[in-house]
Amino acid sequence: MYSQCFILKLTVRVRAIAFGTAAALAMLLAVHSPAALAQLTIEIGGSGSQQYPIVLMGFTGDAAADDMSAVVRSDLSKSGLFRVLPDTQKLEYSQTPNLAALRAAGADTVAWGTLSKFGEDYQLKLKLQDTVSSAVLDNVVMTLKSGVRFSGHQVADRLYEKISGYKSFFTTRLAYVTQLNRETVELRIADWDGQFPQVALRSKEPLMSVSFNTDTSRLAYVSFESRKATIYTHELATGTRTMISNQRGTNSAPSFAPDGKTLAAALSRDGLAQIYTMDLNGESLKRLTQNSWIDTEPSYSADGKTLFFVSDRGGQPQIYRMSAAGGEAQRVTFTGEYNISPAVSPDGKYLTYIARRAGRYLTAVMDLDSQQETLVSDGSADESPSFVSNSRFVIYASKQRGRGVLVLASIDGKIRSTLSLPNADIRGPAFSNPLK
Amino acid sequence: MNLKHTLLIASVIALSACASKVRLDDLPNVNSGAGSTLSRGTNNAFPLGSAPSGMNDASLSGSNAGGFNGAGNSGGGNASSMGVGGVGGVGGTGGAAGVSGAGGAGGVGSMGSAGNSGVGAGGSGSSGMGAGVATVQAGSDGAQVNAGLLSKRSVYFDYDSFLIREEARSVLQAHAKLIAGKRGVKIALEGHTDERGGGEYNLALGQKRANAVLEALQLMGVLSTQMEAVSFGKEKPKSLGSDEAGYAENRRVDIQYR
Repeated sequence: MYSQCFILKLTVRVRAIAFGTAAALAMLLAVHSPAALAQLTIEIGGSGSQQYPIVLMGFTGDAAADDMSAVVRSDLSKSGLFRVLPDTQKLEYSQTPNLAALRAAGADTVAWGTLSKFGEDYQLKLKLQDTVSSAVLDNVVMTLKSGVRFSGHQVADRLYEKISGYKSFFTTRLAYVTQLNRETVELRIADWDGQFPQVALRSKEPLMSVSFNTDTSRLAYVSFESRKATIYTHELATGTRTMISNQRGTNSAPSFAPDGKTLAAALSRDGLAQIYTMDLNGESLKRLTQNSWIDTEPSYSADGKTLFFVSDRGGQPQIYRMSAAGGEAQRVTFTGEYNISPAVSPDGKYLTYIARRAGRYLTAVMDLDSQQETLVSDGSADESPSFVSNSRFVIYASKQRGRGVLVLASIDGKIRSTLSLPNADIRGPAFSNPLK
Repeated sequence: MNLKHTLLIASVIALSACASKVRLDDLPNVNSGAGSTLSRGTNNAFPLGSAPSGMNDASLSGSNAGGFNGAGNSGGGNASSMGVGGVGGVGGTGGAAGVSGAGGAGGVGSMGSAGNSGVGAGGSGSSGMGAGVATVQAGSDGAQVNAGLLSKRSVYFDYDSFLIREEARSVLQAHAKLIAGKRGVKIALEGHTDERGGGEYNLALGQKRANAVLEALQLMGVLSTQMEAVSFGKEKPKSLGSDEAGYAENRRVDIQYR
């Protein structure tokens, strides 16, 4: 349906490798329609200690095996955490790979398997082995229920977790806003890597501040379709939209509480923006901050106990935290004169936000214990940062050559993947929790 | 010079509630403003689609075509260019659907998005029925109507500032004089910022500018119940230029008749 496709560019600091581009492109060929391919490019520049070199032998067995292998390769490669080495061989689950040769080719691990149809479902017998120690890292029969692509994501999840030790996120949904032209804005929901987008909403007026609720059944966002900023919730399965806040003035920056029953937002009904909470019907309105400054962008911690938000009460916009019930606020950011758009990691250890440094708006990640700040971006006009569900990566909107793109960056700033559409601005990214 | 105003506000917001059955594996594709399933909405501000009245004095008979209300900015022979729905002519005898105000102080209106350009021979200062008919395409939505506002409906701000400049005061005075005491006339004060910085924070900054204009107009006699201050932040820039000239044009508050 979409002629546009995502361009994914992967940049890893350290040193360049020669074969990455061709290999990665070859992997993707199997996954995408020919129309989409013309514009798809991948740049992998570099490798290093950050990346796990892996060989994924093509799965054998069922006719869908090639497509599923391609999804797994694509996921691992785009994640930035893996260097998927080129491979044309297939291997039956029952066979044994040549570990010495794989080791010589630079692979630390090798995965292979055989796919079979199991009623409506698939069954994949999968093995993962360390090429150096020969240790079998995984040996499993996976029952896969939901089609080739989703199944491929689940297989990639398993390999990602076995090798990196991090929680995986390939079944996550990505929401983003794209400006197709001056008259058309679309809110789309796609696979984690931006592929296979579905349009949830099309509008002539701007849309912003998109976020998923905990169980990925709803979105909240701000729409200007009634000539002012109002807050909507949007049930994805039915398309039912509810305008939950149209108070006098600006209704902005909705944030779901983890319990799924409360939304925090910034409303200007009593003057300047202040933090309020409301239920999902927009009722039980409660004002949490009471001052004559701007308070906006409330964002819940994963345990729902704390709200981070932006305030200019000190004369410049800085990030503060307070109890989710309101009360005293403590300042969180002290570096620089402009820090906005806070989002806390699901594990509660990190805060991501936009920091203005020397005139550039950069995505930053702060270790909340040590207060150590890392600028993870090389952009200049970043916006809307948030964490991937495993707390190891952030996604944010950025500008490249004047065009709006999305960037997935590791929290140490060493790995960055860029997602872009050829002829449209994209912005306002938000990840859901991984689907089960 | 005779300054007379008709009002034009097009607000066609079709929020029809049509529940649709959708397969669960398919995301329903919703078009906002048309055919979307909008379950509850409280509009406690000025209801959209209502035409302000009370702006026409004896010599004006500005008509309102179905759902489309005139918004002319007069100006003895001034050319005005508006996105859609702008009507240059002032006063007069509009009557046909979609056509508003003719003649009067003479004006030239051009409708960008409707693709029509209405040209009226300006009857320099004369108060009779004159030329100056601009054809308006009815049924365009409220959003477009407000694109490309006349500069006289905008007041500009310095970088990171919320202070109303001296030259803006006369503009505000003119509007205040026109609508003070006319309870039926409602305006929106739409704050905007330049593109630098975050979207949500800029919404708050645009609101602060709009609030400043609201307070100034209040001091000039306009009732707070006639006004709503809102913000578009950096979401609807007038200028797309990423330089100081472009930024300066975007740091503003537009006065929007509802």
